Amino acid sequence: MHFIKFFIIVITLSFLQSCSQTSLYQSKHYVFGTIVDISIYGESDEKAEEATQAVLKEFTRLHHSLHAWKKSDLTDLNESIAKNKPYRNASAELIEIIKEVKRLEDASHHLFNPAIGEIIDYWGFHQDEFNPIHPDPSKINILVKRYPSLDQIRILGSTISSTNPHVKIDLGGYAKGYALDRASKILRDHHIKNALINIGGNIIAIGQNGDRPWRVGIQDPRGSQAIAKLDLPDGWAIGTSGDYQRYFMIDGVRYCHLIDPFTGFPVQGVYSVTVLIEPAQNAGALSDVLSKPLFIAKREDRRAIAEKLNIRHYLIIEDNVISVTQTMADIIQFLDVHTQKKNRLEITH
Amino acid sequence: MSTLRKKIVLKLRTKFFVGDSLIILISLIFIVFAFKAFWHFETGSVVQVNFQGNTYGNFSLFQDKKISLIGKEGESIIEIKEGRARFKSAPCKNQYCVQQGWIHFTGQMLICIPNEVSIEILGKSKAYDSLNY
Repeated sequence: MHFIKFFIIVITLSFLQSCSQTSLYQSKHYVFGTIVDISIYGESDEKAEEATQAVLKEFTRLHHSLHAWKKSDLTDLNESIAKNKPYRNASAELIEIIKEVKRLEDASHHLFNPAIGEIIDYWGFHQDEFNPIHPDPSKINILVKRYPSLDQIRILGSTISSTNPHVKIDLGGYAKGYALDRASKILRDHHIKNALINIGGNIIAIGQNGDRPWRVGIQDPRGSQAIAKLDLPDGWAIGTSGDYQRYFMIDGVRYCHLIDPFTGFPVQGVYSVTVLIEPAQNAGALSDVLSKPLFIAKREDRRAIAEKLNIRHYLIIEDNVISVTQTMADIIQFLDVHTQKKNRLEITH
Repeated sequence: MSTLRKKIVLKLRTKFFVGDSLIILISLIFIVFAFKAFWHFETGSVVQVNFQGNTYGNFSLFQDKKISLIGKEGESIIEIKEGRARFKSAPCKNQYCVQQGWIHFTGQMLICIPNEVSIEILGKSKAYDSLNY
């Protein structure tokens, strides 16, 4: 009889465990011109709410200092550059950011080039809601031949100037990632041990979701659902560049917001590039930046670029081809069995 | 009942010892485990509407319903029909949310950033905590 009592207790307990309340705090906000999604595990709602508010306040601050087309410190700097005037009293933060993106521009052989704001402007992507345009190749060629690059930026103390007035800095490929790193720091300062932060698709993980790692889905670039999922360990970040995020179609051609600085035209044929970044001080920023050079690079140059930039885990989706690094292939799980049948799977490295 | 069967029943009653108990215990644990591991609802049953950063409401997918939300840009209309949900119309220029069509799997999400509306399918099991896009 004792055994039967024991069974009943064991079974009741195991069901109870599945009904137990997990303390997961989730919130969604519209800041930074995108949607910010913060999940915090294992804290009281008040504590989670307080930490989230601190993060949102920081995002609003960054929005006002780094926005590419709404008046910000960055637009002020761009105005000074266009007028051939030095920009004085730049914040230490802005100077650090410019140094960092300049380093990344050089490391990526100028495939990631945040100085091409004029070209992005031409394509109309410097608006919340843009209009399709018929591109004029000769005009684009003129813009490209102005060779804007952060190499032309000079920093002296807190003064920033440029030897090329056509440099127009756009941190669209960096700011969201930088914000992730800031958010991660703020949450850790608030003693939050487990959180998942998603800013417009770029995600960083802190700790885990209860007794399992945070789980992240990767968007299918041609569908409305996730194509794959993976566990994102503590401190790791993930970022995707896709031709489906900001784009317009004209005469049956898709023009996306990812522009090749060497041609001045949007990249065509690549659907999406996802990079997975191992823990680092700037993991968030890297998750934002490093997908761009891979997206823009020619097929045959990808491997060299990935090696140069130390990108160890990536996933590239094109028409009927999915290329992944071996380590990435080990980590991700495709959600639909047909994905692997319909596409040719290439393992690189 | 035949005498033979009576004998077997008696035998079973008298010889119910530790070994048998363990087998039953293990089987029951396995059943509970299997129940928890495989009892999933892949297609969601509820759509959560988020408006201007707050949850506007959770709506069953098994009804025909239109939800109108007036945001900064104008009116967004969400339609629920036959276990699915979509943006029927949106006031924004690029219309990404409308073009993505219907969603019905747990975890699927449509977002209209200009008008600050998003809809997400909720279910018992979510394949992931957040979406990278």
